[in-house]
Amino acid sequence: MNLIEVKNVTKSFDKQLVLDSISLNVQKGECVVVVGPSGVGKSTLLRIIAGLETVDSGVVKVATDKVSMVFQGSALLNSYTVGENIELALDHQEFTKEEKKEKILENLKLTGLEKYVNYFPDQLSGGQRKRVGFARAIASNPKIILYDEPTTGLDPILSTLIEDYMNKLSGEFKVASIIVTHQLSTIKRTAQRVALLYKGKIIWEGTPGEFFKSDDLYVKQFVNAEVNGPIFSELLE
Amino acid sequence: MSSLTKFGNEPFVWLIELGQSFENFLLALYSIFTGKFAKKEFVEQASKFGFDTLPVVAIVSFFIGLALTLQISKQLMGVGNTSALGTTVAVSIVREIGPVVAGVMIAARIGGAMAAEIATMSVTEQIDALTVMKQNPIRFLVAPRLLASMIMTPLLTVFAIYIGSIGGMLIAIIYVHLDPYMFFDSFRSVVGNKDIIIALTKALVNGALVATLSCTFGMETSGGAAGVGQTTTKSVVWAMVGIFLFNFLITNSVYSVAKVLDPAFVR
Repeated sequence: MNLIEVKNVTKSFDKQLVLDSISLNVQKGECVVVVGPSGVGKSTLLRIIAGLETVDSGVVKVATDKVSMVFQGSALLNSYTVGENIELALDHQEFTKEEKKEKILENLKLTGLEKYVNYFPDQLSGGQRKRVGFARAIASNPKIILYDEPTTGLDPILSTLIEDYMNKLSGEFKVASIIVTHQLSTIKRTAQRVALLYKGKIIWEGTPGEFFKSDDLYVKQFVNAEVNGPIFSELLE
Repeated sequence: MSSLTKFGNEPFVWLIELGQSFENFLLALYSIFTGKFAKKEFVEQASKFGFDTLPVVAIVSFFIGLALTLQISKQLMGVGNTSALGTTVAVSIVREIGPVVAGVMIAARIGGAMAAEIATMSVTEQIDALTVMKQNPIRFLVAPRLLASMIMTPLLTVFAIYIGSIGGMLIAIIYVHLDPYMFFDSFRSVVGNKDIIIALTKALVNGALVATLSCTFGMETSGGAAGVGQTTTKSVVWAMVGIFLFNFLITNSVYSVAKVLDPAFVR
């Protein structure tokens, strides 16, 4: 069952075409990783699915309103404590005050931040803020989670911790996820399907196994982090 | 996102921005009347208003009271009618100077900070995060600020009138050697409930203008730190233009209506 259906979506900013007739489906419990060079519209795709951007043409169908997003820069409200930030995500759910409190601590515990519940975001490091952003996104028991570079800036151990939990959400709780990342380790550990976005189009799609062994010049250049290849020379042009 | 972004390069973008501001104002007002807004945010904003603006409003009003009375007293001394000093200062301070000074100070001190805060929230995706969490940004950000502004601006205006009058009285005593009782007696004789209502109406409009424009421009900000800077300047400039414009419109309307209903008030 598709929880996300993106069909022929086109989006431009100031006459610059960012997404060019993109189509992508994500099923219940599936985790799709979208990769590609910076500025090719990966985050825009997530924002469109989250309802934060409108499309110029095409159709986006999201089968549930239980959508959550992990933002690239964590996007925590600075005038609210860590606990209050997470509580915002629980506001529209039928929890008692005590249940909310428990849920907040439970989610902070998952990310190893339970003792920071009364801290303000500017008292935390970048990595800690990112983890609070993750805790906030999962607190509301979403059916879809959109991750915008969830592990960038985290150390390898914390990255693994977050990735394991992302896998648990897809596997155990059947959450549909789209992850935008540049981290090859995250692709390896979490992806069930990988899509390479380039020049507004998905130019390659396959399993992580196929992705890392692909002979496609674009994929190869991305996986091997090579400077010489079609991506760099075309961007220079 | 909104019509603003879509028509960003249109020549009449300011018209769309004003339309968006008016829409946000109405939506925020609806949230306030239905009680569906972030109460915690309101308390924070209201206390910010008081602590941040009170000293500035006090200092500026005091000096304007001094300068204004000094100017008027010079003219009145020339025609030998210093007894009218209290009356003239009262009308100027209560009907015009008090509301305008408080409004301008609030636009500069609070409006600028409000626009910068919301613009920063916008460029760091905090407003997007609120939207994803199904928190309505109007209820969460605009309504509490609008309510705080519409309550605190009239209070600060009354304070500005009071401090400005004290400044005026000091000049009347020291420079014109007027009896303080005489000064305040003529002050009291001319300032009635209608003047207070005019001042408070102007203050209410000023408060609404500052909060609505700052929030609207803040929420539409893009372009990182540079965008935040531009928004801050823009919101302060527009709020000040609005304050002076509405000040004139209200004064003009009051005189037009009073000419028919209460000619003594105009005199």
